Amino acid sequence: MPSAESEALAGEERAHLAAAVARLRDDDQLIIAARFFLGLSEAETAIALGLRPGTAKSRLSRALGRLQQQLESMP
Amino acid sequence: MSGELEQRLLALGSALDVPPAPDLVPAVLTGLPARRRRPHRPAGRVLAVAFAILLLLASVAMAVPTSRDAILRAIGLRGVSIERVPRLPPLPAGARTGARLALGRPIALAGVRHATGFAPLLPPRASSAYIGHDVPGGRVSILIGRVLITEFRGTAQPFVFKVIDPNTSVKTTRVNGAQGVYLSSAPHQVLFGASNGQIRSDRVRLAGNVLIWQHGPLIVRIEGTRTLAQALAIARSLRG
Repeated sequence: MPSAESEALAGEERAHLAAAVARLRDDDQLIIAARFFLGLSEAETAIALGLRPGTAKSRLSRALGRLQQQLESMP
Repeated sequence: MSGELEQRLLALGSALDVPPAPDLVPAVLTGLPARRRRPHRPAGRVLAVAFAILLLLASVAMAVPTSRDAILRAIGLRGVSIERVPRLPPLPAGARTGARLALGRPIALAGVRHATGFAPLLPPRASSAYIGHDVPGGRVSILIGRVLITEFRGTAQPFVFKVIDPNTSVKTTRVNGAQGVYLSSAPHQVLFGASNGQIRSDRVRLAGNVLIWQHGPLIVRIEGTRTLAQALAIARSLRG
């Protein structure tokens, strides 16, 4: 059973990640939310956003790259 | 790309499902537009949901409701599955020759209701009508010019499609009050539950656009229209 301390750390880590996502541009937020928060597959994400599968995949990759940069720039 | 980052995002997404907070569900779903406005643009509903999620993330520190299913329903994807395959099984012999689409026995439109074991939806006018027995319970096929309406007993939900063209576009829509799906630009195969309980597959007869929906115990399909609006207009003209 996780300790209160580890739960607090996990919550802090999630909040940090959520804050980084919230700083991304709108279309990056959208594709990350669809893929990871709604739990859609890559194919479903493409359908939901009206994109071709290859386009959705490349946009997601770029969005993750910008998220990584955002995380590294945050204190 | 970092697999670790993806895992962290998935964990964050999983956290959305944990603490029940029913009062927040309406806040997530309120005000979502009814449908996507234009293709190849982010779906309005998804956009609203994503922002709602992020807003809740920031404001309630993970106390977001169990709403994945509600969100999926809201964006209209719940119950739709697309499988891309290298090829589809061939149509029955002779299916591509003129009007011989392997539709069955010709019958007058006025006689369709008496020839089936179910109450089909019928258009006000038709070029020709057919009764087939390749599906348990029978199949009604009606041609209006180059548009084909197909009806038979079965369960289409969840909607499962096999497609061969990566450019096939899929759009969920409302058809006479029911959820429907409109596929454009490619021939495809539909999986459905037949009236005898077996899972069957059926390939559309005409290449192009297809609207499909569940009407009571029937699966209804309109093939060959140029646009969704045209398909919906034909759907609205059908009478039981």
